Amino acid sequence: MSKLETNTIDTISGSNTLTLGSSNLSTINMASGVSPGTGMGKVLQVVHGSTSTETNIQSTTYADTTLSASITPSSTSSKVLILISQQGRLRLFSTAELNSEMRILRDSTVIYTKGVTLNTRSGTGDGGANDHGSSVAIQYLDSPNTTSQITYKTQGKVDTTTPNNARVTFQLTSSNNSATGSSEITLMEVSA
Amino acid sequence: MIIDAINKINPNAEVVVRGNNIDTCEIEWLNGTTPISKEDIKAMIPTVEQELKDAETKKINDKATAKSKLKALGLTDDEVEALQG
Repeated sequence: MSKLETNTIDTISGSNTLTLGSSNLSTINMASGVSPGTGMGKVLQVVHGSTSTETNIQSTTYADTTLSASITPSSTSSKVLILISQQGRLRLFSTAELNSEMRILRDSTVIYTKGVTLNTRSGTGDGGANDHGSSVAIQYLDSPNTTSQITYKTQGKVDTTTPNNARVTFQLTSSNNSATGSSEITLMEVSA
Repeated sequence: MIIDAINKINPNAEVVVRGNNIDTCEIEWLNGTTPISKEDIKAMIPTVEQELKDAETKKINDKATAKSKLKALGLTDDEVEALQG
């Protein structure tokens, strides 16, 4: 074991390729807290979460949609790129307009809010309900400034539950006319 | 279906239902809504199921009736189909 102390490694004249190790090199470690610099690899880790639990929210108060994922950043300077694809359906039993909101939380802190508006389509659902199904896509770059484990999750609500029990359903498991399926969240730790 | 049964019992309920199995789902009551027992919700589900079936049947029957009335007015099958989308 020997230790090399220097501040620059460069190629020899006439070459533009710098190679570290040979075929038996399998791991290069950096000290804790060290971040790759300009031009080096930026994505440090990727975490994925999904849910297929049908969640009906008939409330003007935000509630969990069951979509979440946790990550532990390796550096306080890292950013977390959040990619969300969430299946949702707005439903009301009148021709009024219904609005819904989704938001992302980092632990208990709200970091992003997105509004969704229903375009009324008369009588497309069960019992003549007006349904609007879609996949909501959100990309958000967060700066959590921590090396502790953090959990990202989504919440949803409707702006009114009247008339007639307006609601939003995430991860719908059965319907004739609306988006169904699982929702996904991907977290990518990106070095600063 | 669970939330429809809840609405049948309390039309003003503010509630979140996670899961679609009455025995295993998580129900969160919000904004002061008085909780309803799962037993009471379960008992209401057959009624709601029947109402949905009836509504679907009515929709089909109404469509057939409308079609026959339009044909009686002289519209062709293609014209009726075009109207019904």
